[in-house]
Amino acid sequence: MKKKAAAKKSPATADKKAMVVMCTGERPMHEVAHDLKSAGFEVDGVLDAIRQVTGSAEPGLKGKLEGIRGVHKVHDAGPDVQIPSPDSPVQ
Amino acid sequence: MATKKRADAAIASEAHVSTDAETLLMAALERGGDTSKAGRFLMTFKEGAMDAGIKHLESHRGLRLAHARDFKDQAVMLEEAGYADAVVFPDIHVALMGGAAAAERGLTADTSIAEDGPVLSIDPEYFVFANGINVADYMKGVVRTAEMIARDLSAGVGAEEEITPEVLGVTWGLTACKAPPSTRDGNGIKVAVLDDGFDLGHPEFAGRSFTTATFVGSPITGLSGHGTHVAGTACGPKAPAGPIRRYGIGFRTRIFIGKVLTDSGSGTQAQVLAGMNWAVGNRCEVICIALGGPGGVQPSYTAAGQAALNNGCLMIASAGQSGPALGTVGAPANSPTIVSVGAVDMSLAPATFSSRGKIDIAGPGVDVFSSWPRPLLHRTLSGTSSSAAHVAGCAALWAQTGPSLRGAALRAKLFATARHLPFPATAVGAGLVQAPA
Repeated sequence: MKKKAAAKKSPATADKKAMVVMCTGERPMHEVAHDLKSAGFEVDGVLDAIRQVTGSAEPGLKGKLEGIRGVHKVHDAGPDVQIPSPDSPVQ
Repeated sequence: MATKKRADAAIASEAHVSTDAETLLMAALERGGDTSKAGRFLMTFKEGAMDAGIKHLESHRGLRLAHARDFKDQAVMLEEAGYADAVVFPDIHVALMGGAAAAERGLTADTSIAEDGPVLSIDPEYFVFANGINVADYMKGVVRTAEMIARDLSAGVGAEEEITPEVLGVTWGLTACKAPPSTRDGNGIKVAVLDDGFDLGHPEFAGRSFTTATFVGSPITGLSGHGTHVAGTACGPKAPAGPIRRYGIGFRTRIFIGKVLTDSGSGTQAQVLAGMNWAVGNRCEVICIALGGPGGVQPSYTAAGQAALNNGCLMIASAGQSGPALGTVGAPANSPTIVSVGAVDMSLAPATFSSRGKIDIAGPGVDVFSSWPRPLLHRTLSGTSSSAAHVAGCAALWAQTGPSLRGAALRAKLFATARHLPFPATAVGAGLVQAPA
């Protein structure tokens, strides 16, 4: 079965930073995502199986987001990953 | 060393006149030290004195002799000299004496020779080689051949070899992981490969079960081949058509391709997490993540790895190519909930480039032959990506052996059955991954 989940790129603009919200699992993920959105978090992906929500928000919003029920921690997204170019002998 | 090998060595070290050259070479290599000597002696007689000398050896020293005249046209076939202690070549006044026979009579190259006696000199027998032969390579070839024969004869019972020779028709990596003798094929096990996609039109994967998803907006079948190479090692076919050697481990696995990297080979953490989520959501028992980024441990990757374990899945990631300094393992491999794989080369030593530090296990990662997008179809690459792919393939075979081998239990099994390597754990972890029997 082929599935195409088109990636909605949430560009981290000058005032918004890419973030990852880690959830406790005490509430359904879509409910937590709804509350995050209401609080100003731009939702990118609701990742049920690993209990995380990816997206972006203004840096100052972290405290407020962490106050939402079902949220464990909010942190800045980590660095990009990269593999060497196809011509590189060591990959 | 297995008992059989020790016995063989003992016999060979006696260096009988009938012992063949290759066995003598093997024994010399096993003895170590000066490997130029075969272990036998050449006794040269003074002209006209040979008959008397030989008679003396026979009557007073009890040597059993074979003569060149005993052979057709005097063409001595040493292997047919049986249990003779010495073989006499009268026309050149030389007798070849076996090592055991010489030792029994206290004869060595250092034995002082009576000046008025029949013997001119006693010299050790040396190996000779054709000009242009690299003797060291030749010796290695002899060892490899003997080991392959010994393995066939002993049917894999107990023998522990130092270097795993390459069996024709299979990559060295698969041989090192004992994938070919495994009776498993990964049937029914889901292996997710989170990478830059896969060439779904590759002819050697026709008819295989594929489930795919892209998280980067571009199609699964892209221009880059990294994902194709990795999936090839983990899940490639049992018998590729034509003269292509086998390069894949779990040849009946269900392949899940999650494209989390663009064709230029980069991905955001969000995209990687999306792929991880998809693989765990699909309950893929094995999740191969042959990519990495800088920075310390990422809580998101650790949490994803834990979610995987909680759901009967195991994430396996490449350690990275920032070695050999310590503290160079990248994310997500550096997460405690994700298996970190280092690379070893053909001699089973850590590859120089392989990152060091939090390494859980090792896999073949130098000169790895695997699949590549059309039209090339195959390519040989090096990297911890390939190492992770070998571990993922073996993990799929292990998962097939029992329904309880999932998540942490599968991880424990991989570590417990790894082949110990004489290198620090910071380089090879538990050792070289091994497939189940």
